[in-house]
Amino acid sequence: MSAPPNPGERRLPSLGDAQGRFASPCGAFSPAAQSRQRIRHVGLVWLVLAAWPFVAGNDYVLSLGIFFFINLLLIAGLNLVMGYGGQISLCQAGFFGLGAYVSGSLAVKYGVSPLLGIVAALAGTALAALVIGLPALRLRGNYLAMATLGFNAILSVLFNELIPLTGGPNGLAGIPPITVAGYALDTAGRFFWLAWLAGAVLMVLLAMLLASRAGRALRAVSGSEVAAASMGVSPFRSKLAAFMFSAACAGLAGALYAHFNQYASPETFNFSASVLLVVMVALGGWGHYWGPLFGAAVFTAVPELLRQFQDAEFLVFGVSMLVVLLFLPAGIAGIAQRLRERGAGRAARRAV
Amino acid sequence: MATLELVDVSVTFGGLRAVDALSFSVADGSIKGIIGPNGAGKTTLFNAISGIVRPQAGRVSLAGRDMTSMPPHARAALGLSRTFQNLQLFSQMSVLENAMLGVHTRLRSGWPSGLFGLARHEEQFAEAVAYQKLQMLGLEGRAGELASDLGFADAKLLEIARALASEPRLLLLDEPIAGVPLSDQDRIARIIRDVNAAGVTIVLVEHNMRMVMNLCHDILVMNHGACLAEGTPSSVARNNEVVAAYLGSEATHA
Repeated sequence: MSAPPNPGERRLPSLGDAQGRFASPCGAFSPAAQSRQRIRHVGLVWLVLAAWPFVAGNDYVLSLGIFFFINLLLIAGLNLVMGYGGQISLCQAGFFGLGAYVSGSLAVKYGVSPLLGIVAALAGTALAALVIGLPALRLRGNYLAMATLGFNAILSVLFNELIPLTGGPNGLAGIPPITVAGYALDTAGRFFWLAWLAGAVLMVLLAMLLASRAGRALRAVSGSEVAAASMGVSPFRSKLAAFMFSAACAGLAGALYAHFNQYASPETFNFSASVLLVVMVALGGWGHYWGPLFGAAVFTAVPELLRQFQDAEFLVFGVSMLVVLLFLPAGIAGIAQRLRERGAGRAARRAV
Repeated sequence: MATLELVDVSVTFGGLRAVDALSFSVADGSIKGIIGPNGAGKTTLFNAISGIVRPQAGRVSLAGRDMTSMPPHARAALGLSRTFQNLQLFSQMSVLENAMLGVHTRLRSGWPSGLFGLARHEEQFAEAVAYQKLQMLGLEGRAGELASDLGFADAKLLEIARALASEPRLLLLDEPIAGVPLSDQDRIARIIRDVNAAGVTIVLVEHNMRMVMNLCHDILVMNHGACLAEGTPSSVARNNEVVAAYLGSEATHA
């Protein structure tokens, strides 16, 4: 199956004459081909999701669509660290809050433009993740879980106590909407498209990352740290980069949340929210590319459906976590995949 | 020049001296066999060479470069590659992706180009190399399967394919044919010889005496973490101490 030579297309060391060209001999198994297929599917799914504003009916339902994309940023970012990197992070809600307060406070207290605020939120959360990850990820084992648990608690205290910046327990009010080229995204109908776009961009970036050297290295580290290191992967650097990227996803989610909601208060970002996000990663499908979509859908819809029962969602999420851990280790995405495979099998049998 | 050189290397676990002041060198382009009874410290020695355990004393150098204090990934970047006796595949990745991990040190792209899909050429190169190594070991038909779906023998072959994909300067093989069916054993031996003929220096730990005697240019016999004898296959086979330690223990096993 060797490809014909095609010199001049290559700067890397030679494979020998018979293998000169880089055409993939692996067809559909090629990670690059899988990644392209995922991106095509993201395109299709996002086309369908684009119908939401037209079927939503009112601003409340429309805003649920926005929260779905914000939750997707949180959960997909966390899935990279947990599902693909094998590390537990208990601070995703903390980073969410950090992003919200960095961008929100800069806008409210210093009049900084929200677009610059988003950049600051991305940088601030990635930097915070670097500071926590540097010591915690040097050690093998789950020190990151402990360090992030502590950090979320620290952030909650800061959100509550730094009253001049954050407004304290009363929350930060009067956060201005994002303005793009003089056009204020101040209604749900307008903001929806920004959130929609952010979700699509993240899914595309993740599809490309997972089929790249860096993504492969991260998955390898969670498979066998010893083997990954023996192949030349630095487990420390790989995990640190994933952790920083995931924190930046939460930072972006936080900034979008703050400017859409125009208000932020500390309890949104506490430790129990972090735990729920971990549950959503597991429920959607740990280490499954499409898992966060399901996780975000559940995380957005269930609390709304159970609104009249105070805190009932905690019970529902707790029970569903147990069910996933005991019976469905691949989560909702795993069920969906199994159904699709069964359907494909039946179609193949019918064709024969 | 020696590709690999160990000087007075000691590894201790608590009170146990797994490797005891061991010194030896592996000549450029040769195949060195390491034999010895179970528990002689062979795998610990491999771990000390590849950096998974840090020796308490001694020095390990690759092609004249001291790498005693380097982490495993830095040693891999210098051209060291290995397989694992107890299989360390990336079980949630495809067979092809496992082999592509072997190419890691030959690529340069990082997170930014990964996220934005800017390293197409490198990826295609990695795929082509990985596929070529899978073909070499007869695994190309299973490229798309999960590594965890492979049987033990195929998993061993994949470990070798992955190790070869880095085009190493020095290859450490930890019992490459243990548990592999007879039909594949000769093929693996042939691959090892071909790889060596292409210029790769090899250190081989193996219990199969026929393979060790046929393939290796010289042999180090370990017992209790120390060197019991070292020399050509024929001189080692004639060594009385070796026969006593090795065949004696074999006899008690049987």
